[in-house]
Amino acid sequence: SPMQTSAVLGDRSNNQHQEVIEVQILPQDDGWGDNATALTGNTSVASGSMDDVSRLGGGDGGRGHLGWNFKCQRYLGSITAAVLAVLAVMTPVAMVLLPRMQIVPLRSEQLRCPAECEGLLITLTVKLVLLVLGSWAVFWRPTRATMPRIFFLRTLVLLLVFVTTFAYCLFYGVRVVEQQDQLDYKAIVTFALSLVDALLFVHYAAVLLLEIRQMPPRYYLHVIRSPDGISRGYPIGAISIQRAAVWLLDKYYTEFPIYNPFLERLPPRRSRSKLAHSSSFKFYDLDAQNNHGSLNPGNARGVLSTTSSSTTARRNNSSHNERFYEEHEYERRLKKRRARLVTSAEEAFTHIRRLQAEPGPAVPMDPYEAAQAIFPSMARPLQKYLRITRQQPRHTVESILQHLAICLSHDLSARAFVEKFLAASPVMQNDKEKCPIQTWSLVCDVLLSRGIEDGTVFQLRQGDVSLLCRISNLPHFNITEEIIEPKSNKFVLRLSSETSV
Amino acid sequence: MSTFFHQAGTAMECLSIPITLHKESVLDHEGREVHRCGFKIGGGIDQDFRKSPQNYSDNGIYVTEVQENSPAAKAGLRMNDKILQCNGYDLTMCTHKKAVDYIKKYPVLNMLVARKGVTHS
Repeated sequence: SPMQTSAVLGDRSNNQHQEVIEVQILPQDDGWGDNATALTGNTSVASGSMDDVSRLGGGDGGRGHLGWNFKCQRYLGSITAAVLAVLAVMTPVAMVLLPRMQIVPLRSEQLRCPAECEGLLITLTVKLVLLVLGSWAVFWRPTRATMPRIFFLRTLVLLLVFVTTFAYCLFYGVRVVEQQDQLDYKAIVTFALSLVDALLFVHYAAVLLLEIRQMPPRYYLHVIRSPDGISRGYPIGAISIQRAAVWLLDKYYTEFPIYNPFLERLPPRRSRSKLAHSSSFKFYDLDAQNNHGSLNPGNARGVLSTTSSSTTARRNNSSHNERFYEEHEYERRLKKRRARLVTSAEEAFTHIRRLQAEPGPAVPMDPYEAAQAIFPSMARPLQKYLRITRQQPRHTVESILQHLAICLSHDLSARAFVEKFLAASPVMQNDKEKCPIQTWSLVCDVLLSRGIEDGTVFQLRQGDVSLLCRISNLPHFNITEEIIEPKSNKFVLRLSSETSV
Repeated sequence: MSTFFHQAGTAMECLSIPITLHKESVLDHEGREVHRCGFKIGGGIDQDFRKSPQNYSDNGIYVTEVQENSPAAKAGLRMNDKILQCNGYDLTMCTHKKAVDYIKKYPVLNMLVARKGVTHS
């Protein structure tokens, strides 16, 4: 049975603690990427979303998850990472400053700093600045996701930083305590410099492990969205399953078309009766008539059929037909309404002119008022179009007016304005999806912190929507060289009308 | 002149050269035994004579190439000859493929051939 590592946080507090402790260790800088202080809109694998609540029809899932447990899990990892990074950066500075501040009692000859020592100090400063800059550039960013299992590589890097700093501190302490007399300042500075070098290399390793390792594509990820069957494929590098899920969700929100649950069943045609009776196969249900005990001609709708299986076969045939014709009709009506919408929008837009362009008696209006002025003339076709595509819940009048105001103030054409309603993708276009936290649950047979392999299957679920992902290897390409002689590029005219006998 | 400007299907009266060609047996590139005549034909009522590089003037079957030391050369066939008849088959009113079939059918060809400058003045 698949291990369902869903986002319910409450009952995993023990694990959380353990996880949190492991995740505490963090890379070398104050700017570790998952530092939480500058967070903006995030996606998270384990938090509640308002949208979810409405879809689940009232579970308390959403509210409960946004409690302290979740906040803890979300921020604690980053904060400890940041703390460790700051400590690591401060250590060499402290090592160099402590003797100067007489906390470590050294004689003044020992504290002399000749030219090479000064050079070393400058190098130390420069390297520290580079380290901080590099970490800020690569790692200082809001957490994209809160993941259920430990982020193995990050933990490794943090461990490395911790061990390095700790070892150096230990040696420093031992040396300073035991051999105070034989120390000289240059040795201390060299020592601090070597720590900074080590940290720089750890930073390099961190960048490689966390950013670069997953970049070259090794696998092919195929995603299928469940209720409507939309699918996509992406190349993906070597990462763990949970990170693959986060990566995939990024792609999902920016590339998949909006899922409209109301479009599951096509809107019924008004005149269904024509089609229902147009099938030439009418059928009796013999069993029902047996139950009723008498052959009632009123119930009979046609030709006798011998077995019930053949009736179902014929019923299926006509339901295929129905589906086909329904879809055809629907497409036709959709196109008609779309044409009407576009024409009425274009007409409406011709009523508005910029102030400079239209001199004469005119009341200057700001974009919102202009929007309100021209909206009524296209309100009706717009409403009918939204109704046929079942999009009304997604667009309120207020949001439409705002959108229209923006289009007018930027001189967009009518078609650009209408694009928002015609093009139902990507998912992020849906204003209702733009909430700061989205919860998805991840289902997989394999431990989530393992890397993806050929044949890995995992599923992401949120309410009605589920994304099934399958991984397969990208093939190894064997490129062979084929040499074509330039001399063999000669041509002879061969008329097909001649035959050799 | 009407020999070489013949409208396929109309009646024609002309002089012709009788040529008897005995095919030779050779092995083709796959090793099978075939009868080879050693010439190439072009034309036919399904072809467009206006596009022929040799500027033929009607839709008859013409000899476009005769290979050296071939049975065709030995039999006296020359380039740009028009084959009127082959083993009794009328080649003035047949398609290219049909003509090829007729020629390939028998090992000995009795042909009636028209040649410019020889069979008409």
